[in-house]
Amino acid sequence: MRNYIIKRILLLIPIILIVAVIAFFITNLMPGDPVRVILGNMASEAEVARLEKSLGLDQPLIMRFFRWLANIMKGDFGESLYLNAPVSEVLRQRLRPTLLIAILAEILGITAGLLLGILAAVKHRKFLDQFSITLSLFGISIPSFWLALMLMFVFSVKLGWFPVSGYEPFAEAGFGTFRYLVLPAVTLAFMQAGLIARMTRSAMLDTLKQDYIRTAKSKGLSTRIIVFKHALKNSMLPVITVIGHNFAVLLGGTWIVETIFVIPGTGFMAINAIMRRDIPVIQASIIFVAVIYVILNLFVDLSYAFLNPKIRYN
Amino acid sequence: MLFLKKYKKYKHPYVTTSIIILIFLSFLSLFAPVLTDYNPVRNDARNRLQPPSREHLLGTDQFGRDIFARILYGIRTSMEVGLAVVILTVIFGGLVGVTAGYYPQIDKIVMRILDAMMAFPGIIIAISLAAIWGAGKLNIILALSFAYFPKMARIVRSSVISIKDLDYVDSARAAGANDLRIISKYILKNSASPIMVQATFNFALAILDEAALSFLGVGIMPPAPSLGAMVTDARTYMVVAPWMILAPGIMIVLTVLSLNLLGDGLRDLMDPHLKNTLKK
Repeated sequence: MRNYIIKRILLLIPIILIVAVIAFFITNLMPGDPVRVILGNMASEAEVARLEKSLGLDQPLIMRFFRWLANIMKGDFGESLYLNAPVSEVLRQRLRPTLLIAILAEILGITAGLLLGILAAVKHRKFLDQFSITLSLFGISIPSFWLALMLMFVFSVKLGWFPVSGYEPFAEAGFGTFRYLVLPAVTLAFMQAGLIARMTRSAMLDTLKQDYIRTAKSKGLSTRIIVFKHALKNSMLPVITVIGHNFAVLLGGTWIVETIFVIPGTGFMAINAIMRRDIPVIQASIIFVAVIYVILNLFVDLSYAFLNPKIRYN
Repeated sequence: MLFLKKYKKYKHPYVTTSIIILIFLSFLSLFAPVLTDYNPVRNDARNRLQPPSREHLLGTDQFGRDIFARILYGIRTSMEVGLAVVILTVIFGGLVGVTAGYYPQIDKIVMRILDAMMAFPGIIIAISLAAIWGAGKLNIILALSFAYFPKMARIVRSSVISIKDLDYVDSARAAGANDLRIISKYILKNSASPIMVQATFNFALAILDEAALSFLGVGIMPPAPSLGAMVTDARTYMVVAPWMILAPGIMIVLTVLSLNLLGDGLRDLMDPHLKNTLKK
């Protein structure tokens, strides 16, 4: 097991390197000269050259890449071109609302998804199965930006249960913070629940066909024990994979819902950075999502190896 | 075609339903100029923000443009983008997947690169690329294809690997067939099913993501009609003109839902245990 873990962690290095290469070259091919954007059109050539030099933009791209790579290894993503602060600092400040939304959405999504999926599998081909299939199909087919606006319209504008948009940090509002986070989280949870329900249903149906389930049934065990004790555990592997793979999609979704609900998280920051060509911030935002994806999927793979010894010794 | 034969045998209800809806939607988008007299991009200041009526079936927007007309042309845009993305994804994903699956020498390195690319959620890659290349139909088609092809490549690759060492491929090789013939005649033919299923889901995803990109302002440029951009317009007038936001949203859901349903149906048809699945 230890060798397997070490091997998997070493495998992360090339992947994260390629992630960095993609993030760097995507952002540096952006049109629009950030120096011109900062100084405006009236700037003299000398001023432009000075700022270019101080930002290190006068050097060849490949040299900049290696210097940038060395810096991010130390956790230094450079300075934001607009916010007058180190990017890592900016990212840290905006992390909390994003993580709160993502975790809340994930909890809601997993709960609803597992419930719907198990219900559908147990009531296979009955009304509840059809209901659950339809609901989860809607979950993966509704555009999140539209769902967000509909929820906002009904629950904030019409019913007034939640603020329309904005955010107050935990330090000021206490648990009132969550009033701002419920609708964004529900929006994102919808899709996660759909994905998880579909996977849970098909994995459970596969498991319920197995011989040992028939044995358990013929032993006279109740459906509840068979489902929760015997079947669920053995259906969890593909479900865990889906959760791991889609957490990054969830983080991508925060780019959209944070923009709609005007929540100052990393997603809102990323979209603003893209609109303003704030390259260091864009790079950090992209790498942030990718690294979380990579690490989470390492845990998924390790949990596989933990649950299934065959993988460990392969 | 394998799917057609299977469909004739089993008449999967998902496939039937979704095909009917999709034919209806394609009809709407193809015959948009016949179905409406309104120009989707012409402003009409006197008829701003009209609720649905006999003249304007779904009402008008803030520039007095007919929403029904914009919806019809919007579906057309969605379908064009979706179809183009699917074609490009199949070509690129297929090329990369076949090469990686068939030639183990380069498999490892290609897979590492694909792994890294898949670490970025599609929508994030697409937003970033659309921001680099600028908004516009062609650019978002390229951006979305770039975002989706790694997954397609992986699917093709695993299908190629599962087929290439089977006996009938070996015997073709022994009979003197070269790589190109083996790949095109034996391997691709037999990996067509998983490719088609993934392509259907990609179609749905492309329509969803095109709408999201246009909503964010990095997709289809106004005034060209796009369902996503219509939601952006509608957002400001949500309280005074709620019909503006309902129609495009429902249209996106209908299109994406029927494509996902088709994908589910095709996947069922592909399943060798189909008889059990469909048994009533």
